[in-house]
Amino acid sequence: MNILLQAIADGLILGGFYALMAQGLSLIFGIMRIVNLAHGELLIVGAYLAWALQSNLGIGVLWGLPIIALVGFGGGWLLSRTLILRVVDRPQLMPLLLTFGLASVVQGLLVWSFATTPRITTASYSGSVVDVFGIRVSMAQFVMLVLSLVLLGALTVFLQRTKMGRAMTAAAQNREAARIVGIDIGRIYSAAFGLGIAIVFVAGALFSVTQAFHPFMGAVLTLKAFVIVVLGGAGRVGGTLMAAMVVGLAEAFVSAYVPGIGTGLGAATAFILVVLVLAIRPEGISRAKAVA
Amino acid sequence: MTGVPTVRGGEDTPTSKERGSAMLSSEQTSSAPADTSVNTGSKRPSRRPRRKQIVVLGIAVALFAGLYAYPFTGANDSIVLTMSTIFMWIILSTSWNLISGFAGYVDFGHAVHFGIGGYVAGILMVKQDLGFLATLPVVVLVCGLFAAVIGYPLLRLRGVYFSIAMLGAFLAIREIALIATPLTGGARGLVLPPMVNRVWFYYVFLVGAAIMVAAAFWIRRSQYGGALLAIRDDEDGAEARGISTTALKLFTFVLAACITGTVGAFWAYQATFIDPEIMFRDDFLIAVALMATLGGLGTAWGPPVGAVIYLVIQDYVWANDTSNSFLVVFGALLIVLVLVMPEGIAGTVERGDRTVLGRKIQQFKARRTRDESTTEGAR
Amino acid sequence: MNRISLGAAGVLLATSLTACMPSSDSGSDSGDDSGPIKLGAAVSQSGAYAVEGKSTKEGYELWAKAVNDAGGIDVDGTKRKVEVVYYDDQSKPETAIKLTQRLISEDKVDFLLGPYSSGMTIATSAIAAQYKKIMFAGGAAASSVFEQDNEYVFSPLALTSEYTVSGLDALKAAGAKSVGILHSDDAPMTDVKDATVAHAKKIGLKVTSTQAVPVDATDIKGALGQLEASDPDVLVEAGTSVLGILTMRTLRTLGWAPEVLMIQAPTEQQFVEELGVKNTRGVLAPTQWVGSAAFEGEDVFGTAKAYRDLYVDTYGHEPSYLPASASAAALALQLAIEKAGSTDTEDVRKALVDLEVDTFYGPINFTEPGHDSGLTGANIDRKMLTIQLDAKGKQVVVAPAEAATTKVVPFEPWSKR
Repeated sequence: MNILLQAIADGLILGGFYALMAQGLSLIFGIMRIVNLAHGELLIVGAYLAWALQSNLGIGVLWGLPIIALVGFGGGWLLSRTLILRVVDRPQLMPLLLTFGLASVVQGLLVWSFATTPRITTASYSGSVVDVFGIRVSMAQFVMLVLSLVLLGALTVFLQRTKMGRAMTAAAQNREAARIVGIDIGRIYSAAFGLGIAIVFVAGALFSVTQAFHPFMGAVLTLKAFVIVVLGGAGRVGGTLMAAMVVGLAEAFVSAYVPGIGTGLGAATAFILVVLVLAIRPEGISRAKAVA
Repeated sequence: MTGVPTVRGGEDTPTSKERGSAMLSSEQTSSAPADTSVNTGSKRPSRRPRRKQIVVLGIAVALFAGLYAYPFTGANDSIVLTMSTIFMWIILSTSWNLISGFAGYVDFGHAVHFGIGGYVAGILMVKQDLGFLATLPVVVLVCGLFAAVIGYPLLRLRGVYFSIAMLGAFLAIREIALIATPLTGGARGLVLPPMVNRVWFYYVFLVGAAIMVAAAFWIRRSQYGGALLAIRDDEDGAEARGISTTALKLFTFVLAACITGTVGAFWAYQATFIDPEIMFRDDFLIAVALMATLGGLGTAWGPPVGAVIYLVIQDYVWANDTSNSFLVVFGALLIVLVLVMPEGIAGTVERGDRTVLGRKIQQFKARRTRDESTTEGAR
Repeated sequence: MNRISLGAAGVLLATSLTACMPSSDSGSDSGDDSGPIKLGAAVSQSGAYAVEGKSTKEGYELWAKAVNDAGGIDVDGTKRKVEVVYYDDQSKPETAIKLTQRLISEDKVDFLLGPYSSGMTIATSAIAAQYKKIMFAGGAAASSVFEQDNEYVFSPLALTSEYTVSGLDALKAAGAKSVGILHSDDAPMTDVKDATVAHAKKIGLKVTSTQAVPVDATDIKGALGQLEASDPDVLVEAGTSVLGILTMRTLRTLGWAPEVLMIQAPTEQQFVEELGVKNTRGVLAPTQWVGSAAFEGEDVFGTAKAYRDLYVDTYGHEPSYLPASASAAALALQLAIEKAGSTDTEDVRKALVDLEVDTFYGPINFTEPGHDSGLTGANIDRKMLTIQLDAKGKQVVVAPAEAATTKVVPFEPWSKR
């Protein structure tokens, strides 16, 4: 078995998942300038939704995805209307504290409804393994990578080609100007927030087939998403994908080549990287001008 | 400064200006100079002590004396421990408030100093057989050095970027503590010589909290504090007015780090067992942020009040419930707080012109001030 | 004014730190000799250890109910009921310390039942020792707990150093030559790794590779890939049940099928539920206790099977080793009180050190301070059982030889499942 190729494959898969996960955060941060600290917890909600649909109603993960995305959008829209829009123009600490409280509530509700027992979603393709020239990845991971890339592509098209998408981009670039040309900022924000949550729900659903999850996993995922958004520059799909791949590959390589250390150090490596990048190049690794 | 897309730009500016002016007016009522500037070193006009100040000081002294005498009244060790925990969090939330509330640099990785302090003390005690008090100078030195080294580059970042970078520093140091097994014992942790003397820790934290709160009051009214608030409200403006923002921010960051690190050392000694999860705690940030916000960011008496209320609520909810609902209740409280009372208790009472509750109180206060000024003939 | 108050504070600080060295109130023993015996337990009901904490609490509860149904504990001829005060430590050390202090100083309990997790046991048992309260650790097995020369902490569990001994012996007998180890990097599992390496050397198994992963690892493919490359006959996995499930799924992805000996996970019901019977068949696991073990004693529970039946009647599901260990810890207390004929801490402590009995949980014999092993209060002679999951997902005992009901079956390649 070729360790190098295997590490690359693992890194790409991890990166694909990170990209989709971080894209939800990136969209919201890029457009609303709000850092949603409940991001990871909401990802776990998506995972539990997929699990519940499968084990209670017998709806497979792939069929369940549209439902999960819709629930995510609706939930996100509702959250933005009831809570987020009220703090969007407030000083930085307020949205941070608000979404932090939200994370705590979501976590509590998850524990309350599903207990702390780890779960894993079984899909029709759970048992299969993809084997190309001795590089083996599970079908669940493969599906996750492919769907992540497809969805990120679709999102790019949406942001560039549709009226709503362009309105979002405009609002991200210049809030005042967008308002002047008659864009309803509140509606844009709610749509963006809903879209961000829908994305992270779907990421959670795909993730739930690949590994066990439990209600306390959210915080670490939020932080990783954060790191990727900062590295890639908020709001830009391409930048996010690139940064996610860098983090995914870094983690896979560290865990494949450094003995006695797991992916945890990969995470620390990523954070140290960000601290350095922020200190030296505060605008992010990609040169292009950041949104807003 | 740096090319960070400042999050505080755009529409946020009017609000912060508004807040700034509101604060300046409250400065005036306590007769501190409105236009504070460190470099000019202007002398504060001498003021005659007001009745209100004497009363407040009297209450503070009486409170301290009462608390000082408290353990002699035969209180059991459980209550003594609970109270010393409250004092400890008063110190922690007040020191966090220095950098996050006054200077506006929201430190989401402040627990890193707590952890480093605890580990420096723990390592010296276990590996070098030093007595606890002998470790303290080293604790302060290491915490100060660490803060200076990471603070210098990171404090150039603004807004949420600084917060994330600190969070990253926190997680990275925790990982390192986990991996540096020869030094830290890794995940096995370190077992310190047991020291279960609740009253000793009670006095340590009580006196520490008293000094800390007194210092916060002094800072709030000094030119130093005024300069910090100026940085929070408009950093470029402060720079333009001749405040050396870089030095001030760094000094404040290092100061807060040293205080937090020292508390961490005491806590480690009290806990008798430390590992990376215990010393570098996830819930630290939540706790200090909620305490300071509840009490009032950037005020002197907000964080202590917030700490007391937070811990009393936490104890009350947890003592009566084991169903994880505390997560929900606690989170919901924070949300409601942010929506209804973002300026905290102190902010609402002092200058709460943005909340329903605050406006009511302000109207009431305004009427009383008018009455007072007519009787006293001042202003 | 500020200078004055600062000065005053300084003076007060000096006086309080130097002059004031107060004595601790040693939580006066309840003088009442006929009322219920009061116990306190701060165990996690929420947070990271909620599942384990709840199981531990069930074990304490089951014991308390059994004792009270039988009329109570016989203290020198008087039957005294037991009463247990429970708190939730939220899986946080700071809370655990606070609650233990509260149990001692405010609730004035006679004895303490310990939390789940070794770290919290070390922190809280230091308090217990200070106030001269005995703590029965129903959930701590790391040897570090018993290396503190703390005379007041006792645990009936086999130590982590024993975990893989009988399993490795059985696998060696079945022809295995080498072993690779994957473990989470927390204290008990690092103990397991060290003990496994030591024992493997002793019986002549080659250790090909050891890999540590974080407690909350979500992807362990790199670590397992390195282990696979070192090609051991046996894979020892030491971690939580989450890590166990993750390991099995990753093994299948890698298509690697060594003999698998894993800690904790396979004995949890959920392991088979999540992975399916065909994927777990042949997995080995050490366990502190199973309901089918041939343990017998003269205690309130009688036999292991009777305990299992009582547990199923009460809670409606199979017991893992956790509640049994907790019940055994409490049971040891009961036996010591009855032997001492007193609830006085020192009398009971002496009785505990001398105690040597067979119970539904197996033999109990605590080490005294100064024991050769350097451990105090550990149930040192106790052996771990090793089970294997059979074709129906049931746990059958395969080691040690004297307790085995069947032989080790080789782990089948994934393609044959």
